Amino acid sequence: MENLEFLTEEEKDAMSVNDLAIYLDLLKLIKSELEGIKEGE
Amino acid sequence: MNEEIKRTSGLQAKLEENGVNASLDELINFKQTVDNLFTKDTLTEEQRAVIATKMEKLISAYDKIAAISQRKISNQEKAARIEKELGTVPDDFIRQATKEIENVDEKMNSKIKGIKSKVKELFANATKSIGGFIDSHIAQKKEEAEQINKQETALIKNPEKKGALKRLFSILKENPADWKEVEQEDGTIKLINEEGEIRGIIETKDAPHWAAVEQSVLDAKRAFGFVNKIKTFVAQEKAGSTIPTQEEKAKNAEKKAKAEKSIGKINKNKKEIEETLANAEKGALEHAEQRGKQVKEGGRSIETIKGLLQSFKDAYMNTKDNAQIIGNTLRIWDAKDDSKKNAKKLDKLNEQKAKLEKQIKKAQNSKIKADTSLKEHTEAKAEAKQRIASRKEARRGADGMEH
Repeated sequence: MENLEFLTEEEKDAMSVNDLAIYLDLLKLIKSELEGIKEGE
Repeated sequence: MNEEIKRTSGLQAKLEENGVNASLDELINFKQTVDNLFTKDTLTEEQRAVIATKMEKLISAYDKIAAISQRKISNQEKAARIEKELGTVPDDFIRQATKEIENVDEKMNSKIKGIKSKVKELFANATKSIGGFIDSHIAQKKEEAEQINKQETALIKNPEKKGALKRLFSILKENPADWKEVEQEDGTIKLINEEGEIRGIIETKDAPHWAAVEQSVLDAKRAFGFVNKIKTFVAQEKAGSTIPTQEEKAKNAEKKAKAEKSIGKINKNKKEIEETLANAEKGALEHAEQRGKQVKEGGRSIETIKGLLQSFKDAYMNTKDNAQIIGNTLRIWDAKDDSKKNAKKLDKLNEQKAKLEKQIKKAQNSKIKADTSLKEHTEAKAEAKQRIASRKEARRGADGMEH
């Protein structure tokens, strides 16, 4: 799998608040899934 | 909001002139305006495409993580598989994601703050613009009233036009103790005493030369000793003021009341508009606050996020469509420019055509003159021939007689 990339500062600055919120939710979902696995270790 | 003012005043145009990039309706129905600010971006097509790709990869990563998470294997094994899939250990990714989440959170806070500032700016500009417009509207009304006054004064200054002579006559008539009779005839007021003698003549025929009137009044004073009222009247007329009749007084009062009512009404409207805008601003800021909280709370499912990402990509398509539309519009404008150039060419051609037509007319006139001249010449020639022939005929006749 290709390396995951976060958005650049420039990209985030140009995005709308609503679009940034989608990105934020996505990051939170991934983080939450990973933390779930980690907690169960 | 006073609909009539909105409709008739060109208020929207004034707002636009002053850089208020929202319509009045948008300001008053502020929720949509605020929501629009939350969806406003400055992304280029390229940025949108890059972001969409990055997000798709993150979604795909989430799907894979979720699938691994569901598998009935040990968590250590899950972590190992995820590491293999993500190319990084979960812990590292969690750290990076945490940092990124904090960064995005700060960025969103800053953007929401920016939206609130924008809302304040929008309303401040609108209020200033509307206030300025209404003030100028009031100034215009006052100017109109002033103009009416000036016109009235100008009319009154000319006694022949505005009945000053009539008023002067009334003043003289109101003081019968000083003269028995007052006659008015052809711009002349005659003051007659008890004996029926004309003791004073006030010439008003050449008014507004009030100096002449005043002189007559002074003459009258010598005759009757009472002219103060008239003197005051003349002085006022000369100074440009007036002694209006009751009817004029009433009319002026009516006009004044109307103007004051109108200005009062405008001021009331101004107050109403300002109050409406102030309330709308308050509501807009509250809505921005709530909307910000709601957006930040998030909690969207991955399915919702997938759907929203599709909309994000569709917006890219819309941008492309819009670019296409703008391109077409520009081409139309270019075509319009061409038609302007063509119009200029046409104007030149029309000028040339007019010149040629003038020349043709001139040539035609010359031809007509030449034809007339030729005709006259031919006729004269024919007449001469006729005369010669007649003379010859006469001579032949005479010769015959002699033989």
